[in-house]
Amino acid sequence: MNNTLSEKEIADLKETLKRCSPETVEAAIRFRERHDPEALRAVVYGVIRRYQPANVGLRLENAGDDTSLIQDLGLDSLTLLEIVLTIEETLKIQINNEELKEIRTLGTLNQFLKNKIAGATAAPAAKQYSREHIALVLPQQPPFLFLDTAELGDETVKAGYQVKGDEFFLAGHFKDEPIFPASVLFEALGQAACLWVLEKAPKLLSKEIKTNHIFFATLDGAHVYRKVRPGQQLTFEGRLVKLRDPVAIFSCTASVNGDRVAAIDRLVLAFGEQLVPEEPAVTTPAVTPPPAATP
Amino acid sequence: MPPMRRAVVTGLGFITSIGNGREEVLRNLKECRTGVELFPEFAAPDVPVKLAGTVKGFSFPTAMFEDWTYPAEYSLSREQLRPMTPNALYAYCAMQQAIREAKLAPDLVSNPRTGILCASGGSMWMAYENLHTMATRGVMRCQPMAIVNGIPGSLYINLVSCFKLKGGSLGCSSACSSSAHALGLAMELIRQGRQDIVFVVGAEDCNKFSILPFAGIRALSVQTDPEKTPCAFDAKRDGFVGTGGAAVLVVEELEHARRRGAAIAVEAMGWGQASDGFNVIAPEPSGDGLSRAIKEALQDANLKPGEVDYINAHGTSTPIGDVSECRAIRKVFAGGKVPFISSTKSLTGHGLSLAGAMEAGFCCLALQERFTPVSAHITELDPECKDLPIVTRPIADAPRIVLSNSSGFGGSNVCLALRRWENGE
Repeated sequence: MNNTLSEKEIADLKETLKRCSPETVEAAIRFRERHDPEALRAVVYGVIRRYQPANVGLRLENAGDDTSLIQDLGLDSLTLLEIVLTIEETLKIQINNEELKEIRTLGTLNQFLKNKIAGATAAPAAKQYSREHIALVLPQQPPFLFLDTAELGDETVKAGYQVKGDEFFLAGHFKDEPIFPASVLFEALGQAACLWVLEKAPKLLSKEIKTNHIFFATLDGAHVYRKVRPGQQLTFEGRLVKLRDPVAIFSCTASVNGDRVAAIDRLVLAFGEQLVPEEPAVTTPAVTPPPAATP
Repeated sequence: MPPMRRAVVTGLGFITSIGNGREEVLRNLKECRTGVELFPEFAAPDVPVKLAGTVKGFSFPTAMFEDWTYPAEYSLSREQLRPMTPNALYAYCAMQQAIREAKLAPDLVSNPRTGILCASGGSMWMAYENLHTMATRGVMRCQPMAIVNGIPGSLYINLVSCFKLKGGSLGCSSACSSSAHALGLAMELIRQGRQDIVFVVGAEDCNKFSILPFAGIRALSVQTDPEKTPCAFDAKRDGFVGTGGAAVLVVEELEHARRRGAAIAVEAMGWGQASDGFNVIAPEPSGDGLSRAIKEALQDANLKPGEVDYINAHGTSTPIGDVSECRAIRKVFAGGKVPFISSTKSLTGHGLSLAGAMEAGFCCLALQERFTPVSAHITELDPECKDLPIVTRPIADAPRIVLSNSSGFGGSNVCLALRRWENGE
């Protein structure tokens, strides 16, 4: 892919790489214009060299993939941040906090950037949600929120929940043996689907969907395979089967460590002013249940 | 009851428009040489103000610390310089001087009984650069040091880290009385037994961001001749001239200083503070707030008004400020001996948060070296100031007890009382 940089872009790049060697600037231009992977290492080394304190630590010429950026190269955490900011600006990428924690050696840095660049030119990554973010989107709130994390793809939702053991309903479900209720497993799958609908459907349908206008319509083929106990980490996955105003249909599974614990063949969410669509958009042999606990 | 702990000054450091060290400052004070000059940063035709009390030997061509230069006798590592503001760099240099003059060994500098009180308005320039970068280039492009060098606390943040200080650390923020407050509070910490040594630091940037915001309220002089302005108490004064730099005083408990054989310069006898309760900017015209601060300082120092030999006035050279200060002085001293009065700001420019510590440092020099600083550039005293003994020409009088006044926005007034330490005391 060729992309000739404008004079202003080159000037900005030179400003970003002020105090780096001319070779570093050339490599950066080569990378930005032609995505030359060979240039990547030259940029990274050039930026590190510019920030590495004189007479401290191992010189880059003698460094290898397992060279630690902090212990071996003598960079402190703030210098590492300066390096990251300069690399981000030079390569036009973003390195988030989680990714930054993983970068400890020259090898992990190079590998990370390679992956990042490959990823940046391929599909955009799924959007990540924290529990706090999820609570801002969903109408369900603690103590009735069963998603800790979620990521949304174009037609997928994947969410996680750690069964803490102190959930209010476990005290009575069951006496002397806390088991995560099947109804709550289905509820959690519904919440994951709900998140997808609220975040993705409005754009696809060019329609506003209010958070209190989304309901369980149908559960078809709902199965439970294993008991879920406190301490276990649940993974919920949903795939969109069909989206047509006013319903979204998903197939969903819940799993622990890769073992399926529950599944719903067809989970139908309805949205809009009406509580229950009189005529579900999809013909289904199942009866239409009244609105469930989930609004 | 144990005898009261007393505070003395055992070391000074200066990075000011009239000199980057004790000897140079002393010579310029005695010879009445100005530190004010035409400031290239103000050269643009749309800037109505042309003068500043420039800090010599430093340059800050960009906000990037790697572009900065400073006198060769100081040496900072990249890690030390990186979080700094210009005022923190000035303060670092002044701290080095003060530590050397006080002959403080490293284990006394870095000691739980040694604290620091800093005064600065913060680097508005660095704050601007950081926030501008964030606003125009995105949140994640914000510099890692954006908070550390963007907030007024950056002065103590930098100095505590550079000098590995272990005692209390605090910033004072009361506009132009900030560092006078810092010295007053240092006396309290020493008296209360909370610290044995306190570094009192005042420091300000010297650039268009620290000075020119005062142009809008017409507080700055628009004169262009540094041999004529600033001219506190003169009839033709038209506003203050800004300056920056740093001043450091080592304030130490008397017996602590004696035990280690320190050369004692001055006793910090006491201080007073009072607010005008009047206006955000304008001083209360009768000088009521400042007069109460002076009275409180005299009482705190156990002094009678007649014992005071010299007052280093706040005297910024603004039309209303100087008159209000004269009224305050009259309220306290009328009917008895009125001390000699001068404003050293007429030589240095007004250092804002730096002013109190810088001028307390000048008072220490005046007491130690036995001279009375002259109030520069006076050709015709304002009729409102005429009856007071304002020092317009060098005099032979060697002060023994001096007061230093500071007043800040919001009508925040501080008065410090200092006394010459006699040999053999």
